[in-house]
Amino acid sequence: MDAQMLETIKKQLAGSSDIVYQVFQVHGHACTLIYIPSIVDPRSLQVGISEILKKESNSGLDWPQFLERLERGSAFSIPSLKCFDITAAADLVVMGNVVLGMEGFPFLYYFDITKYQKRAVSESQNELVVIGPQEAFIEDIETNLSLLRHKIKHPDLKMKHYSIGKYTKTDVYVLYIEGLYKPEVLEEIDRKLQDLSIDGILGISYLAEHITYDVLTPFPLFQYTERPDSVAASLMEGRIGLLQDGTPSALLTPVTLFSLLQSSEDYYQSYFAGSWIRIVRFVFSIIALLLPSLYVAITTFHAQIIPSNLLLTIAAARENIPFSALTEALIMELTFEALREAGTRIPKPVGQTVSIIGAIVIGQAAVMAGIVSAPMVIVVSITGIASYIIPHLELGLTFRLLRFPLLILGGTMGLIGVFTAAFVLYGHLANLRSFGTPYMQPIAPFVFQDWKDTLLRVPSTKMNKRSDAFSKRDQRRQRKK
Amino acid sequence: MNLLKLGIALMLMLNLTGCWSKVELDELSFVYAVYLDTGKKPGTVELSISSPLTNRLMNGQQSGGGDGGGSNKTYAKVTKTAETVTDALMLIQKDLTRNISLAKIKAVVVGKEYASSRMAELLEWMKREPSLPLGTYVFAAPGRAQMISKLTPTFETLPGEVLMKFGQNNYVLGTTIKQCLIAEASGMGYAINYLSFGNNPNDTVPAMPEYWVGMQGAMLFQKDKMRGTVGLQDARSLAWALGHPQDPVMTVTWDEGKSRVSAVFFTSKGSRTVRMTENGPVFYVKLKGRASLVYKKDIERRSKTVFSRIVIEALEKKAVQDLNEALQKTKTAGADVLELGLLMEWNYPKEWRKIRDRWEDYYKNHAEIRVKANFQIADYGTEV
Amino acid sequence: MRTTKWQLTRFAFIYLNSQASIFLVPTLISSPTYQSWMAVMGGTLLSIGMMFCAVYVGRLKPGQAWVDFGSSIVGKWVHKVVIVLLLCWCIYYVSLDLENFVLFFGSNYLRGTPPWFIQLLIGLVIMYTAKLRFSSLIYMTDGLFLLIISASLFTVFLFVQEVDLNMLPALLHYHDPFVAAKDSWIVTSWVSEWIVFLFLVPELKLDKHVYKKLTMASLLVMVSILTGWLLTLLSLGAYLGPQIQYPFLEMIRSSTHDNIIGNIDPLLIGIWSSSLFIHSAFLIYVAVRCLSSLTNNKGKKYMVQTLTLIALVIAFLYSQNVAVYDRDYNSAVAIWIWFGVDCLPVFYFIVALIRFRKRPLE
Repeated sequence: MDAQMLETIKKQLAGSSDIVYQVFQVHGHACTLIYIPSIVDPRSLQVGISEILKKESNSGLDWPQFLERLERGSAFSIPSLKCFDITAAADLVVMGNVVLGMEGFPFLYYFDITKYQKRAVSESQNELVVIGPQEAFIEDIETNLSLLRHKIKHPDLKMKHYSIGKYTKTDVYVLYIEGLYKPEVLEEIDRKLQDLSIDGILGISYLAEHITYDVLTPFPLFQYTERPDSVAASLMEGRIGLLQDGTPSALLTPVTLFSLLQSSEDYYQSYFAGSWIRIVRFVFSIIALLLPSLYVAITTFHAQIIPSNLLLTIAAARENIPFSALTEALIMELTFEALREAGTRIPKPVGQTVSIIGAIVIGQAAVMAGIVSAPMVIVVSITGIASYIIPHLELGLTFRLLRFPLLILGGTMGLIGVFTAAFVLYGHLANLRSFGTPYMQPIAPFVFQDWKDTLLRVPSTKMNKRSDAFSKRDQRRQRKK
Repeated sequence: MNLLKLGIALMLMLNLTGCWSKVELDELSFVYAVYLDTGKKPGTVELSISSPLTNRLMNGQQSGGGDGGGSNKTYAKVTKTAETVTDALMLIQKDLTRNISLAKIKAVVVGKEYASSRMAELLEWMKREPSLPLGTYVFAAPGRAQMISKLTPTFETLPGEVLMKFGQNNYVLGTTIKQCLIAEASGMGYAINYLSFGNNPNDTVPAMPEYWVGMQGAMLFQKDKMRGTVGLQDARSLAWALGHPQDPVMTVTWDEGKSRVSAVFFTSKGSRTVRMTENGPVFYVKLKGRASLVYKKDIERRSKTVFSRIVIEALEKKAVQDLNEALQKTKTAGADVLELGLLMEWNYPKEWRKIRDRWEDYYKNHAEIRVKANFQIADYGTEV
Repeated sequence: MRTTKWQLTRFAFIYLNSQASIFLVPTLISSPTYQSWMAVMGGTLLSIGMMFCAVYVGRLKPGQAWVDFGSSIVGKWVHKVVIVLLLCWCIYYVSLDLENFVLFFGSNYLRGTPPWFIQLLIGLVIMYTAKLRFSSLIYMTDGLFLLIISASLFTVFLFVQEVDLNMLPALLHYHDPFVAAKDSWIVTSWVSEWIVFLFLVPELKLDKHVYKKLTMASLLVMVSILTGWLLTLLSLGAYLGPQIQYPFLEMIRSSTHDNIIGNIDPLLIGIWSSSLFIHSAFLIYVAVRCLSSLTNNKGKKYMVQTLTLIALVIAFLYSQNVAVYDRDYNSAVAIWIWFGVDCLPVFYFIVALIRFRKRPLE
């Protein structure tokens, strides 16, 4: 590399004082190493590159032999690659490579010994399981890929690499198992990722938004997970996963509403317990969506549905409440939303206090002050608890959001408002396609085979076929002995 | 895109609406019982409604009506007189601060005079008014229905509840409006509970009189005309024949009154069939039951097999005799309470067509009803 | 589109059952005889016969919709007239659906709410549903099938206690063939709308198994109507039944349960109303297909909205004059029109047999 090249590189990297330019004299020629110490592995650098360069000078060989060995790739113990584009050299340095420029050479060698700071693989915080693997992804992509390779040891597991973002140049990997996936899904993802031009992506949800920009829906079209076993299971179902460097979550697609209502726990517990929990979960998700609106609609428009004794109790509780049932419900719901949001953001030491304040003070005191009625507090609390029963937060947030329009419609139009809104929602869900898969499979369309894993969890010895929601080929899941 | 348009349209609509059918719970007053009498002026009807007062139930606990009278009562009664039921209801509503809701009505009580003349009006009103449920129980008062509304609910909190429980427990009859309407539409008869009214002999505070309402029998109707009343014994027999008796109790004696047995029939059923003979239809009413003995006094200390045979015979004989008496009374009154005409219509349409038009008369004079009883002893109680 | 084996049956059941289950029962009860069951069975048999004709016609050119190749059976202008007739019938039917529902729901639960409001609301929902992808409509019926079957079973089990079983012998003792024939004809006009099934092509293919599937759907509808009629008859009696406007509803409300079960009618109505939305939405879809074949696919963007609006206007006019609506709805003319539309496939079937038995359809 001549002085001019060095100047070009130095100009591009000007202003950053953490760049190191180390010059070695090898057989009388200058070799320059350019790197950033904080993001390269010091040991590899020392042992694999610096030492070797130093020893070169003391070895009995000469310059052409050194170059020949370099060409063959046997000079250094770390594999090297060639870079012909000088302007890319600065990119390489910032990405953690060690660039080696030899005097008189028009191209550069570079070594990939990137080592970023990362945390240790820890327990999954958001997807808790009692029995079963506890490890979760971390931000470093290499670790994540290694966790996955640990689970799936088959050459058919393919990983396609993309580098996305002008400033972040983030590594994104698309994972799939050859022979199980649906080709059209992969094509669409591939096309959209290629077309993506963006400043940078910091979280994997950016990707999710950019891939599904043409569908307008509050429902999640991707499943987020931080557990390698979920990803492995989904890949083996024929789904496609996306991993991104810097995010400890993976994206899985295609997705159906019912796969978002499943948790890995269902598979690790016995099938009776798993089925029961699933049914409870399903019922409570519907409650989370419909209970406040049904309550307001029934007490305001159709009081005759409620049995007489309960009706008297509710009516007595509603005496002297200055607001209408709808307003009361909106006040309580909004207050609880605020509480929930505050509870998520609050620093841990103070978190305990907030929940106590929220539950006792607001709930109880509001009733005693006569601002809201006790049945309303019960309804809102049950709804709140029910909305957390959904294992995937993205769907839970959607249900929380959709509760409000349903509530307003129920309060202004009664049961007919609730029914029409629920029907329109159902129509929207039936119309959603997650990369070609109907969102409500296996209820709409009704695929009987897939019912083994929807509301109930049939023993795994009976689950012999892959669901065709996700995979078209290779239907046999396990051999019968 | 279409979802957006839909959303905007809905939002605009919501702002325009006044939410017409919306009534807050604390603006409603639920009527539990309705009492109908003939008004003082001929041709008018006096309507009373009784409904709970939710503002006095505020503390979550319903202060029992046992305080009787005074401002602690958790229910109220309003009475108005007008020419029709609907007009009277309007008169009541205009003076009330809340909207009347008839959807939770539990019982309708008709006065004796009203029952004899204006039952058709009540039935038509209940049929046509959409908010009135047809499962409401009907009762007849021994005088004016309004008296019944004064009853002091001792074991329940509201008088309407007391009446509803009468109907539900079915110890005499549990006739609902639906059964009356079916009978009226098909030209048959029906029987409703006939209440009794009097001072409560268990008065705790003599200064504030308490009234006790009970059941003393049944009132018989044919279509929409009252045909008479029968006593308690007959009413219970008729209930057994109708198919839904509630724990009939019978005591029989023999050996010139020296031996006695009391039996409770925890399992009991009644059924009716018809068979055609050359002389016309013969109606069979069959009473079935399994008796549990609760009192036994056997002078001659017979063995169990002999004893049980005697007891069963005696019980069956008494049951048949009681029911025959009751049926004779219905025949005299001309009220086809057991709806035997319908039975014939279902089974022998051709013959029915011949006598349908004069069925009332036929039932009164010619109908042959044979009663049979078939009992077994379920257990002898807890004594050997 | 993801098709499954019995999907067509489920769709056919929901579509045919939506009107028949609630609104046919009062008609059956109002001729106060105990033999309507014979009428239902006879009507279903006739209907299956018409289904055979319709499916045969639909299969003459597999892969192409009847609306496109019908002109090669009967000639261009006759076919166009038939399409126009069908279009008008669809819109009129949707308006009747709307008005029926408004009267039913409004008079029972939402008194005081002006009918145009409920009609507008339902109209918007129908518009939205009709605009969805056709496959989504079919998927929706798949899911609703479960819900409606469970709700129906639930209703039966709950209210079977209210019935008077002594009435059962009457069902066997009454047989008047003339009345049975007339009532069969009425039932047929309600349950034989097979012509709209010809619009399922090309998304759903009509192969030789379709006969079996649609027969199954017919039988299911028959069972549903029979159960509804029987429950109502046995609990309300043959004389009170005809006097009540909505006997099915009264049967639920007149039960002596004071708890939530006896008052659960609005929820059951809500579940049933979803099948009503599907019914109307599919009719609008058929109307749009008819209209676009007449206009050669021009102006397709606003067809759904326009046609629904027309239906809304008709329904609104009816709601202003309920007596006229009653007269039209219960008139013999209406039954003749419906029967006529139901016989259109038979007409095509006969013409196709005569003209094309020897040589295949080009």
